[in-house]
Amino acid sequence: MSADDPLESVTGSISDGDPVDWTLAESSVSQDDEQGPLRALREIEKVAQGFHALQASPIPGELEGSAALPAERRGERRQWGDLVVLELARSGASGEVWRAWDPWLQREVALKFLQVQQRQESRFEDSTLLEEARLLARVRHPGVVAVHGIAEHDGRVGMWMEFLEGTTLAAEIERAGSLPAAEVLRLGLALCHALEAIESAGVVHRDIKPSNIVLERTGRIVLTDFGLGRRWELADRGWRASGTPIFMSPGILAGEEPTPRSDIYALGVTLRWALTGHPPFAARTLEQLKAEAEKGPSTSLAAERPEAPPALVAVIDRAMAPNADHRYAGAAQMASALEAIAAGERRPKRHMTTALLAGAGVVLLLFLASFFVRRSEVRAPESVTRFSVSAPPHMTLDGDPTSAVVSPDGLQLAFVATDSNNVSRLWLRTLRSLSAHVIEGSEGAGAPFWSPDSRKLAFFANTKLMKVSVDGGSPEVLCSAPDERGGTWGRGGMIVFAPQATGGLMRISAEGGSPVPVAVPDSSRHEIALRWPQFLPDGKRFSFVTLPAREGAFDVYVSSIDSPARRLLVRSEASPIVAGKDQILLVRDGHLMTQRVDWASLRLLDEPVSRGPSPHSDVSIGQPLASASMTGVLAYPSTILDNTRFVWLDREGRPRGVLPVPEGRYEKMRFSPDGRRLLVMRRTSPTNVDLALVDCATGLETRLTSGSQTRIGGDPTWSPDGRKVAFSSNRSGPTDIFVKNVDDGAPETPLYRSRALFKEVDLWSPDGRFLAFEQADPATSWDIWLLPLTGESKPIPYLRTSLGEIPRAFSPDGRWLAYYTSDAGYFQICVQTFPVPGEKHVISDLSSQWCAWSRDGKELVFLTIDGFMWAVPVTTVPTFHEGTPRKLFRAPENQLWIAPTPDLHRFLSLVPAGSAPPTTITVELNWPAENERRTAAR
Amino acid sequence: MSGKIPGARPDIHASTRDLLVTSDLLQQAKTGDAAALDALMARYLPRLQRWACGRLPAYARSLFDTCDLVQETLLKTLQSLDRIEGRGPESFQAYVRQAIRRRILDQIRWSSRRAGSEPVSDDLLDRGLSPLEEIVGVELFERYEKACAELREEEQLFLHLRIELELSYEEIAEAMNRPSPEAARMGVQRALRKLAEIMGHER
Repeated sequence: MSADDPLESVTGSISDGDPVDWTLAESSVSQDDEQGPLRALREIEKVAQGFHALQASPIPGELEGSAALPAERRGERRQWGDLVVLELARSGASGEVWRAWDPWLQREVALKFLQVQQRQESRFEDSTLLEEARLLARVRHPGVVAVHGIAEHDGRVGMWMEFLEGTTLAAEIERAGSLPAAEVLRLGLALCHALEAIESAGVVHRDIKPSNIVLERTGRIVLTDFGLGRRWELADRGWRASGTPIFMSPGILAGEEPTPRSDIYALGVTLRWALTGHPPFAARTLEQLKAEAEKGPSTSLAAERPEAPPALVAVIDRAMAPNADHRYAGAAQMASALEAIAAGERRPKRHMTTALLAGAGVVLLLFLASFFVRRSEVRAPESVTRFSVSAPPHMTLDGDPTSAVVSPDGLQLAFVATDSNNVSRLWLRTLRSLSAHVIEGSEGAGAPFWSPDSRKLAFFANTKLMKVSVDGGSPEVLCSAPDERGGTWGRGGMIVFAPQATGGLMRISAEGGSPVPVAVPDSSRHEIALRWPQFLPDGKRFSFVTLPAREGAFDVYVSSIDSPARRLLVRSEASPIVAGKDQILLVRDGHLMTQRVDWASLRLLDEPVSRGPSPHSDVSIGQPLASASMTGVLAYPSTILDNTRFVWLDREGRPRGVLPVPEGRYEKMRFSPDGRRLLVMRRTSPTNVDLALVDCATGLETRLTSGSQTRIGGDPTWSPDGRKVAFSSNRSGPTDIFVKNVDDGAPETPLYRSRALFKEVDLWSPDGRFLAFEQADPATSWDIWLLPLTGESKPIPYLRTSLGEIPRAFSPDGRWLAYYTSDAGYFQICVQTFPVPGEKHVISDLSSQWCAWSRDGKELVFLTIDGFMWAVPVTTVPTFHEGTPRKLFRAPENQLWIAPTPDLHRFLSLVPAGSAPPTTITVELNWPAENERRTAAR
Repeated sequence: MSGKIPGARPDIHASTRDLLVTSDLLQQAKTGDAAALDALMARYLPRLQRWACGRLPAYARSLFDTCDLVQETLLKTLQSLDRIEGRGPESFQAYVRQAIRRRILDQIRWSSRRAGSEPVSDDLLDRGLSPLEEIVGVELFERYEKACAELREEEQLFLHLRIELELSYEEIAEAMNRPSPEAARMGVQRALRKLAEIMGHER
């Protein structure tokens, strides 16, 4: 602040767009003639902020900021989140409403962009839009437009609701001139009931008028356009001029806060206008209106419409009473008055005694009807609000359902997002806010879970269990978790987690210490793994799933941190989700089911209610498919499987064309030894994956497997002569090993079956004698086993350590095996003698999980986790020697899999075709309401 | 030209093309260079559309009306560049601003006619507030506009470019023929000071 001229400093700040310290400025101005300009500068700052909000907002109609013209003008359809935007329905002061298609609800919706709100949010830190949506969602009534969800996409905040087809009351009055008294009575009753619901939700509508009332073709009368956030924002800042003055009560015009009685007044004006066909006041200025509203209409309604029932006129007059105390206290009271009129109209004129008795009956019936109506309204479930959370800019969301977790209080969402270097981090989004922030130091994060007070998060990263406070600070390592399968945080700071893919559960204090076993697999039940623990609401007992699955479902038990005893709770195709004080979410027959549960007795209550197909397909590993708060908030990633395409890359990573294959979703591939055919893994449906052969010259594809499996584990491989393939399939539960001739059409035959859950074939030895497969073991994590193909097919372990090891490539002479291991705390490629593991060489110090060996044996290539392909010259005779790795190229950022030709001269990169939208996280607020609705519908 | 001065408002649509000199583009456009015309359109269209949308009340504003209005006006201006032959880029800016203001008024009048006669004042039925009026209030915005009208054309243009369109000082210096961004900043500050004095003493 300039000491010489405070005004200059203020003009500088306004010009630069910097905040002005008005307290300092006002204290610096001493001369009287500077007071006026300083006040004016304060006003100019407000105007400048208005222009700034305008410039920060999208151009109306422009769903993407850079488009010169709306795509709709060019006849194109636009996607906004999950919605397909169809056409502009109307444009108003508070924003635009578009007709859109909601593929989730399978129906048309009205998509509203609250432009003014959005502009204000750009200036005011705390968004009220989400709060507003929640508030609206609480108003569940057929007379009030139903809100389906709110989200932000493409930099625009939008709220979508039911699409109403019909006309507005304003248009109807304009068309008809005025409405019959009976119609006004029906209108009044319907609107009173809608207002009752609004009042019950603690909301004041604030803008009841004919143009905000829709008359649907079905006869339904619907109140729309609350604009709550906008008006409250405005009201908070003294801008009460916004609105429609002629419907404002004298109190509002005098600057008082809106109340249910001011809504009653607006309803009175609306009904009177409908009955007479013109507004009740002749004022042409605001001052005149204030004066007239204070006195009431100059012409009595009874005089204007003498044929109207006097009782109806009296109700409208009372609703419009200038003194709020003289109006109805609420919509219910006004509704009662209108109901009495309606009853009187329906009541037949009979003998007095009969009429009295009958009248009493009608009153009783009305009372009972009213009672049941109210009961049903009271019991009517509130609606579900569903919205999508997109990835932060330049990030992608992991479609893994354990990667997004809502906090127990339902106010925060933690999720894993991956950057272009393939580094995942934990992000945090408060549901009140429209943006997320990254948790620093969370590189490599996965499977996060919340503390019961929603203040801390635990997660797994780089083979460690870690914790971090959401209020800030760096993550702390709690203990080792080499191959985690979920964790949960109970009361008293106790964490229960599955440190390995196989084996039991451990517990550890959130304050640190050493983990100790808390539950172990029951060998008598042939269990090999306990996973996905989840504390029950008491914070002491926890549920977990046991593997392997039996007949397609997992046994789910409940145990306690105080006792090893366990009790069967339920069977489910995925880990159940503890979702509130008496709710559990299960998966059965591929459908997400909800069921009430008595946690004290661990008894399931009522019948399960289906919520439709489960959001994820692969439930073979038992993981939970969603996350739920204790407050009715549900979150799960929404991934639409994209088709893929095969792109040829040269050794510099330059695209060299596309391998033409039938359109579809391919997941992995491997070239035949002669390089002429490609073994591909193709997902034919969300619940089935098959193997097929592709002729590289023609692109012709031949289906290879005939089974039905959700999972083909490992990396299906060719026999050295190219006449057979070996693969692992979970068609009968565990992933067993099969072999198939590729040319004679004979069905595949099982080679090795066992109770071990995961036996995943990766390689066929060059001499044809062994299959190398990875197998999970409770004690030793992932091990490398060899399945002899001659003599007795009894597997023999190759590497069985406490670390995870996965076979990746044989040297062509069959004397060396390249594999990756978690030895260093991250994944690195090693080469070791074969078939007896002896001399060992570390090839890559960088974290890498994939490698291939050239057909001539002179080169190894490996892909590091940051997406770079490296080549390292090697010799295998007389002994192994590796040269200096050389970076070849950076693989496509969105690459799903890569396969080199046998000579390593070219690479085939599998990338998404780009036809599917990116993964988002779907959040449902008040999800139990849908459960109640479905229960009621049954 | 590309450096940002401290405290500058964020340039929402900064791009390499935005940093080209308007006078050069104008010269090229006059010779029929379609790319230069496109560049000028790209430079001004989004900001002017936002500015115009903020001034149109809802009843006069529809999705296509506003976009068309600004685009059409800007195109016409660019197509008739000969009429502002020999004058600098500031004339171009002023010309465009005035042309769009005129079109906005036309649009409001046209929309009023289209709505038909109303038995009650529009002010009471639907205040027809523009987004800007909703944000800053009708009375304040009218006083701002009225006070602006009392400024010299050059001062109005400084405020228009900086406060209303949020151009950077570099862009304003170039548009207003000032030797440096700092000189443009001085111009804006002086105009602001004068505006404050007019508004501050009118009460």
